[in-house]
Amino acid sequence: MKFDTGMIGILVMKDWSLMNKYILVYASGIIFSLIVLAIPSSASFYMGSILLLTINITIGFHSISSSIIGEKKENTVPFIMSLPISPTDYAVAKVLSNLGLFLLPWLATFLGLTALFTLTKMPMGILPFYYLICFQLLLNYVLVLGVSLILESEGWMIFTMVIVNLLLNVVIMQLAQLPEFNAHFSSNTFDWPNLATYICLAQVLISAIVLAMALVKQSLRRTFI
Amino acid sequence: MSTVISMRNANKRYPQFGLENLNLELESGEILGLVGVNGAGKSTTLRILMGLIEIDSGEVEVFGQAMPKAQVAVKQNIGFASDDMRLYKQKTLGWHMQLIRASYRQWDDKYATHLLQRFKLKPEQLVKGLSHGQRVKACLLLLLARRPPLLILDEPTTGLDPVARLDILEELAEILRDENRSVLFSSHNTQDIEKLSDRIMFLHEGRVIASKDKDSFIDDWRSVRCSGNIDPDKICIPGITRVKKNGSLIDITVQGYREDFNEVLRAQKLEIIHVSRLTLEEIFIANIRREMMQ
Repeated sequence: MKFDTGMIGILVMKDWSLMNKYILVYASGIIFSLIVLAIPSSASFYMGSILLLTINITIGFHSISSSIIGEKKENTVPFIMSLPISPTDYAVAKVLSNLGLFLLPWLATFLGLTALFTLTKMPMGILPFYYLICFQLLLNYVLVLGVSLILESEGWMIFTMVIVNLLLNVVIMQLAQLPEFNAHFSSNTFDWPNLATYICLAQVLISAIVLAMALVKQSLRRTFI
Repeated sequence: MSTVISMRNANKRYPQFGLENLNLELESGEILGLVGVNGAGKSTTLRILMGLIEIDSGEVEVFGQAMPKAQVAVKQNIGFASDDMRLYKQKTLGWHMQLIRASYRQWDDKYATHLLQRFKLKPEQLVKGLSHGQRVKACLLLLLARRPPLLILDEPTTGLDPVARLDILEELAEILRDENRSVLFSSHNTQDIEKLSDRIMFLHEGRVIASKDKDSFIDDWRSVRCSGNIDPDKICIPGITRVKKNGSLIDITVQGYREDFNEVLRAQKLEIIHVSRLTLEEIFIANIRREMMQ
């Protein structure tokens, strides 16, 4: 695989520039969700959690649909294809810009949750469960990104979104039923079980494989069309 | 003169359409117009030359480099615009200029400013607020300001109202006169091609059906209006592509016209009323009709 790092950088900055005002909106949404989560009541706890989940899912959907599918629908792709780039440069730039667009708010969520549980009297024992949900959100996002990059189809992107969101519910329910996690939900100490490490590694590994597959598939393309 | 584009026996097959043994050469400084109806293969040809589509067989070289393999290096020297190309509507023209400036080492700030004035555009204008004509001008500005030695324009005037079209053609003609660059552009509008091109190529159903320099094209064809009572099928001169009888008037379209044809027609008891040149559009239609009859 040969890359033009200079042009990839320009394309990434271009995508970020197109999304910059939305990044601010989502960042504000994450801060608001964390504040709601910190209010000491069970209703606000659930509401804050759902808000965080919703915002992270929306960011992923928005960045992929506007930067990959949107470019195709709005015919800005011919403009980009005319630039001195190869299909591989384009694919690498799309992976980097989208990962960045997702990872920034995702990281804010991750760190915000850590800070919230550390600085308040909220039960630290639930934090590993929250971390695994965060990693599942990352995996879900990467699956949608991979499918969108390979198939470049809005229909397939929406279908994958639906499937991974259903999968998220299954994962949340399954994790919540495991004693390694639910036994510590009310505990004030942070206890990271071995099972969490394995699940987390599996989530990261699958994400890396999906991204690698998408990049290899795109790098085999000699032309854009 | 050096060869800028060389396409030899290029074939590309799609389920409903295909390019067949396409041969195309463009010399440095030449302006070649590709004419064809919708679906003739103009856009496919131009996209192959840009390295965006790979051919099934044949050879394609641009600036002596094989395409699509050398597409990244070659695209540094090509200014490409197509009728389906859109800019980011939520961004300004200035934002697009920055993007192109960062992407091309040859970007010329002074020339960009000059083109802004010439096209009456402002960098702070949002693309979504531009008219179609202004968007076409913005695209032309973005590609011209990097002074590419080769321009590939795919139907640049499609969808424009007559005033905007004329405006853009005049601007383009003047810019192209000023510059020593090669241009390949396609249109189904023969007037645009006639206005700008040195050489013209007719494409039909993925094949080149005629290719000549503009003057030879125009000079080669005539419409001869005669009168007489003769069966049109019995009129015999070389190069006849069409005979149309309306009462006693007979209109003959002929390729490869020579002065002595008049004598031949008179000998067939036809009185010549007048001989006129054909417009490029009429020549194009005559070529298509001949092709369809074969």
